[in-house]
Amino acid sequence: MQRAIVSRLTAIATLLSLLSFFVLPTHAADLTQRSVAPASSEPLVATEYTVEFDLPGSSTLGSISVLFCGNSPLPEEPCTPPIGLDASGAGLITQSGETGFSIDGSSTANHIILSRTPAVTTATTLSYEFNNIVSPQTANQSYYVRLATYASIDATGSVIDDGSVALSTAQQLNVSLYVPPYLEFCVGVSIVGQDCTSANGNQVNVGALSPDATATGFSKFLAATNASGGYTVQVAGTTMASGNNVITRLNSPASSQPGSKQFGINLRGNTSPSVGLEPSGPGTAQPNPKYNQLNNFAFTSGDTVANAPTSNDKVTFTASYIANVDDELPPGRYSTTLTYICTGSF
Amino acid sequence: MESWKLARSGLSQIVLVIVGALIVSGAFFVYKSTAQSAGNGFSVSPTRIVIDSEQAQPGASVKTEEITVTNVTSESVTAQVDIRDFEAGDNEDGTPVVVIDEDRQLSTTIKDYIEPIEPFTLEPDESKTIQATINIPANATPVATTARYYSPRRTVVIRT
Repeated sequence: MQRAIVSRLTAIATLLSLLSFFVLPTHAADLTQRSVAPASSEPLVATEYTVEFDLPGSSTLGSISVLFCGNSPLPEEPCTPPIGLDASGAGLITQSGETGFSIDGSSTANHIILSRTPAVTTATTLSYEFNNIVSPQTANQSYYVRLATYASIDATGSVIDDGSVALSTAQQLNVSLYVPPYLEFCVGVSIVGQDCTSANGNQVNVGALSPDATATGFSKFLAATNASGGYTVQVAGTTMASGNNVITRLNSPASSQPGSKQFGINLRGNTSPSVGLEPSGPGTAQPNPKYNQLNNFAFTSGDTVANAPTSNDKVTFTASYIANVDDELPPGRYSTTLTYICTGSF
Repeated sequence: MESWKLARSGLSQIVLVIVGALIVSGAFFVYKSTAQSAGNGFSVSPTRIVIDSEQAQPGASVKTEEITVTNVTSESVTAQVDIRDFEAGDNEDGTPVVVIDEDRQLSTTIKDYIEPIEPFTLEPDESKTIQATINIPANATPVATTARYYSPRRTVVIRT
């Protein structure tokens, strides 16, 4: 009796053992640290995809399945190919970790099978880069990559390890910036530093004219441009006059001579007479040679007084004015209006 | 040389110019102080507009691209827009020189083709966009063998 019971229990245990072998599903280990990174998330463009994952342990590896699905990451569910995705032209351009793979001929538009002669794995982290995979056609569309490893060379048979990755295409946001060419110019009797907001005054008073001393005054102008051709600054106007009585302008650069009729300007920090400042600022623009002579002055309407041959940061110029008169000049108020004209060059 | 090349290529150009004016005065035996007012200044963008010959057909009315004028001073300023000719500078390095003498008219002038632009006032740091309209007469004829063309060189002067 006891022997019969032992025999039956043995039979039941054997049956349970067989049931467990045939009924319980095989559970593959997870591929960890897995990722699939397209170089671009833009829809319907051919781009590179990098597939990486860690193996949970050593095993015989003959093939790797990279399956793109549009419906689900779960390997138990049927796979619907993402619309527009096309991996049929993919190429394997780099591989690391476990190597020796090539794309198997049985691969399809949404299924890449990497195949090699089966070998026991020695590496943990595996990485494979593919090119020429066309991403799904719709922006902001989720899709999935199911990864699996096999001992066979064609992704058939039992799965050793597996795992899935979710991806999405994205609406592309293009950011562009256009820097327009500009020309900035301001004029004043005073300009602090290189700041046009400080430009102040539009009347230069050279004071009382006398045959014994040179009357002086100054004004400033600031120019800058990012245009490649740079800029020029012209001066226009007449010499100082009071009705029909005029102070002779200096047609070519000359020093100040009190007692003779002279009107002229330059853009320097002069010492005789003491008037003006050197150009200042981060730019490299220079006075025109005619107006760039220390202690020498000239004035011809229409002359270019300063120029920058290329794009140029701000430079503040100080225009110095001198006026000399002789004994015969009739009294009166002598004045002129000078116009500075800044033009972008090309 | 540059202007000749441009004319040969049938390009018409508008150069944007900023002008600032000052009064210089002195008194002979008389001294009188004068109150100072604000300086003046603008920023303009772009600095040059090129209109190609396909646009500038006889009888056409061409609007330039928008020109942005900004008051870069700390006071409100009223901008006057003048149309002036310009020509190549003496050194022919591409430096345009505005024709100052209003009585001097270049043979290539098209000043009369450009519609006047009303003055406008800008507060500090305020910008305004303007457009120049060029009305090309139906009988305008290009002359490509010289520097003449019906719109080779034109200047829009922004001034206070």
